Amino acid sequence: MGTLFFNGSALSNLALGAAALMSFGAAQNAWAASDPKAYEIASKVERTYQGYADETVDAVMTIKSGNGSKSSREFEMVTLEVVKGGDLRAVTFSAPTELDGFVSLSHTRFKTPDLQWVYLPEFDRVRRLSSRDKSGSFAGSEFSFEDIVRWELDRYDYEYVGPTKCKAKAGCEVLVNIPRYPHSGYARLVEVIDMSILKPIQITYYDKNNRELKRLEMTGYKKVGNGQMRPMNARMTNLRTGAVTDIKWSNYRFGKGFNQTNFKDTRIRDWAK
Amino acid sequence: MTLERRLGNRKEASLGRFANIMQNLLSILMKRPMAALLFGIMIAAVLSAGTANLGFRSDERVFFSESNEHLQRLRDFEARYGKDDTGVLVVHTPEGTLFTPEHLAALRKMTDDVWALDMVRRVDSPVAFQIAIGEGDEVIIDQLWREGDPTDSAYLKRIEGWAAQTPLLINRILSEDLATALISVTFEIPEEQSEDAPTVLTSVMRERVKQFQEDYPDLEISLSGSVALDSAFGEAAVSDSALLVPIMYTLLLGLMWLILGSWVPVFAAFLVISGAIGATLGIGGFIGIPLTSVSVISPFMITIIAVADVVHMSTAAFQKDATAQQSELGRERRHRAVEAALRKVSWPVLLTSLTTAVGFFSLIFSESPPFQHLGILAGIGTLLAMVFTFLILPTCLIVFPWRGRKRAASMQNVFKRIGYFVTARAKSSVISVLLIAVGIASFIFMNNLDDRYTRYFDNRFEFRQATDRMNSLIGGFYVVEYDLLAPEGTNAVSPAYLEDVDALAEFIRQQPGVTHVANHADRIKMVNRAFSGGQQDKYLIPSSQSQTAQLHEMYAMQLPYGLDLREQVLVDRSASRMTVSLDDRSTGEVLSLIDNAHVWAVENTPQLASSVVATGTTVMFSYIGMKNIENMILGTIVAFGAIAVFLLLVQRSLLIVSIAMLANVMPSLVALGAWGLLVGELGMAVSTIVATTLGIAVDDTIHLLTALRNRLKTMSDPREAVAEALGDAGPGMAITTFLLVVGFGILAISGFQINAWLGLMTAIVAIIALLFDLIFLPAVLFLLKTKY
Repeated sequence: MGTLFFNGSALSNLALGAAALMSFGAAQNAWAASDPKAYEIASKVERTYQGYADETVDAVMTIKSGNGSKSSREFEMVTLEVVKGGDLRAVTFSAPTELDGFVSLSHTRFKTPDLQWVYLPEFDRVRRLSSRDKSGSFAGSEFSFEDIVRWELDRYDYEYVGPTKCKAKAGCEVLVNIPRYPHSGYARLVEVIDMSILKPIQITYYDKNNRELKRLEMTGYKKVGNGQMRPMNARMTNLRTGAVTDIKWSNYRFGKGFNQTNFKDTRIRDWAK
Repeated sequence: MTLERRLGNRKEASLGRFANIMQNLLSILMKRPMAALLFGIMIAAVLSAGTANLGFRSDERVFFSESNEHLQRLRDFEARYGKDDTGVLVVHTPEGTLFTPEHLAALRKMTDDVWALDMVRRVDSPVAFQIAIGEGDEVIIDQLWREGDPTDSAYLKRIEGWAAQTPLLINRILSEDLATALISVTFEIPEEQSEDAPTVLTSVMRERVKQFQEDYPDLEISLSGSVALDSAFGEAAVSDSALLVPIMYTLLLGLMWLILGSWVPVFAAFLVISGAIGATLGIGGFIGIPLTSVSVISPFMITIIAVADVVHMSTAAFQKDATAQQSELGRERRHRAVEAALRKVSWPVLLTSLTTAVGFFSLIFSESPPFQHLGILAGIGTLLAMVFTFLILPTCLIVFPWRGRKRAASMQNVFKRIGYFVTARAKSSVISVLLIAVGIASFIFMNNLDDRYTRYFDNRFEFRQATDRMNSLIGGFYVVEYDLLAPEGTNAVSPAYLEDVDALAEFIRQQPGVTHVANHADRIKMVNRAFSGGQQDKYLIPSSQSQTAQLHEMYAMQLPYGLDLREQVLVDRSASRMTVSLDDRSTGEVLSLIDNAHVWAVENTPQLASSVVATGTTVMFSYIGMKNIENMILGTIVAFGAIAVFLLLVQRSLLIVSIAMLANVMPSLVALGAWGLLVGELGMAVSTIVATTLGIAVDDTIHLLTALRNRLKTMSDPREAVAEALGDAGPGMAITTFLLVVGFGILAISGFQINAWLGLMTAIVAIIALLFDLIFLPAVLFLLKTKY
């Protein structure tokens, strides 16, 4: 589940998404092709969450390619939960210096390509980006753009795999998510959920040809802000090239009072300040 | 000193202990022939077991040793940018352009289809190219055309325009006339599968191509790329070993039967050859020598040498007993005939085997492992063929009844007459032979060294046809790569660096044969134009580092999986890659391009110059020919010295040995000169010719000198002795040369150029060497009489 990368937990979003869908009575349709057991787990996870409206977090991302070449990025990410419709997200870079003030703004859509704008401070210009691909690399990292767009319930079908061994007291369960978006970079995502904290701890991504592509591991879950559980570290490993991207998350903040106006393309410059 | 003394007629003294040991061995052999036969078969069987360990390498890298600096540089490059194991679909429409609804859909379908192949890391194709286009405030960064996109003519005109203004696309994967596209599939082949993967992937892709061709009959589709190249090396090896070796084997044994008139030596030769080949490949397996498309021809050498050994020894036995020509001999007399034959020919057979083996072993000095392996295997095989000839042939000749065919007296007379003719005009013979030889040899420098590796394969290879098509339609099979380091204080998106890269790319574009130069400056220019509203006057590198960095980031963010920039720009941005595509160019032209680029960079972009060092497979092959020559000069000197020492063992005269060596080096030089006149193109195999043919050619000389020495024991007239010696040895020399020419001639019809030329060249040298032995050598030997 893609969102794990940013707000730390696919299931927090899964839960939110599920809640949203049920409250709008769309659940039957959305889950039509899904396994009820997988849905039940998702529902359980859902109950441990609460809506957060907006979430802000700081990140230091280190990219290491298979040959040892390294670089890093620092950014702040703000996500606004939109109950009806896709989430809104602004990513603002602060380092390296040449990227200081670079803003990427995205409006998630279900069946059509996401809306996306960029602000390049050095040109002081805003451009709408037109692209259908969601598998693009996020800032040159192992995370793809698809991984950072918040997970939406509607986007996947689900399969239940079964329990697996892990350190968690309550054990772990494995689910498969199958993307519905035709231009997704993945055939499926296999997710391991820690049933004690009801959070995903590992996700394996399979490419369009159903071959193992990369693996995401999340560690250091902590209670932050208004009681939400978030991981402090996320590591994405490319299983083919050995390239690794590490993200250290810090300073989770919730409910800062952002609204949809903040995420309008005409207001994109505000994020750069 | 008399001629006789010069020829070292002091056999016992000169051979000393070796002769005694050999004498002892031979007498054991004669006492227990069956035991010898069984012993021989046993050795062959035991050693053959090693063939189970025999590996095969078909990748083009096998031509380069681990210590080869160009291979090391390529490895470093690949560690930074990834290894390009590619299969390239060449898609061409004979009419119109590819920008029609049907053709675009076909390209898309094929692109998506090959993505699903095993081990695919990346697929580059015009329709999947991530184009950056600016239209007002909108920046389109997307694949050029996907299923479901509009196909009306207005839209197609629009994307055609996009493609036409994108230098990263045109003439790299889409031809300028928009009629040819490349779908380039890059595979990530796990180390443990590197041996088989190219062949497997190629056959899978060929099947796809066949299917595509059926699905899209209006398009012409064929398969090239590096995995197809590797596969072709494998196919060449298979066709040479599974087709040519049996042909040669049968033909030589058949000719032997015709010449000798008895099936007994043919049967013995069959055993000797099988044993020698099996045991040699077995030893290769034990010591870990892989077979390659080159070393796979070692059975040719072994067979030819073994046949020569058997012919020499059998003829001697058949000549021994005159009555043998009328009726079959009893076992007793066969035994005596064999014993006498052994006494007569064992020494020359031993010696010729040693010199031949030394010639082959000298290939160890080659720069290229397949030639080293060929040398080792052929050298071992030569020695084993000799050993098995001694162990197997005498027993067969004793045990089985045979009837010898008398060598036609007329044949001996022909050679005698040649002897008289030559000695009668000795001086003019020597001078004219030398003049003609030097005259022809002087054309050696008309040979151009060229290792363009697609030409290793002739037109019967699918790979060759496809690659020629690719090179003529769009180019890009031959590629020169650069890893351009950003100078201290800058990075791969710094304007100063990009301007330098751009200038270098522009210079290289002007060089002959260059069809495309892919570089990061063009990418930044494309994105800048898109970001700045799409006007062509914005196709430039912005002057601010932050601007270029931000453009880079924006573009990189939109690239789908498998098309990211990691293979073009390092993650830490300390360097970027420049890929120069070429059309069908000789490796000499590649080398001058590389030199010109470096010289230009030193003068014009000094900051960049230190990393303007070319790499890639094309570059490695461009250097290998000359490097091989440099290395083989030493190898040839060593072989020359060793063979001279062997000759000195029998012929104690430095003068005669020197002349004999001259007579055997000249033929290869003459052959190379003639090659320069007639063909003019040589590959990396050429440097191995002199040493190996020296070892083979000198055999006839040894036989002639041995015969002359024997004649001088009873004759005092030098002219008569020389002529009679030629009568004695000439027929044998002619027959073995004939068999050699037939054997290597069959190798010459190989579709694999390295082996074909090796065979052709060796056959030519053998003929010229025979002429030297028949004209030059007798004349010189006769002239030397005046010295006493």
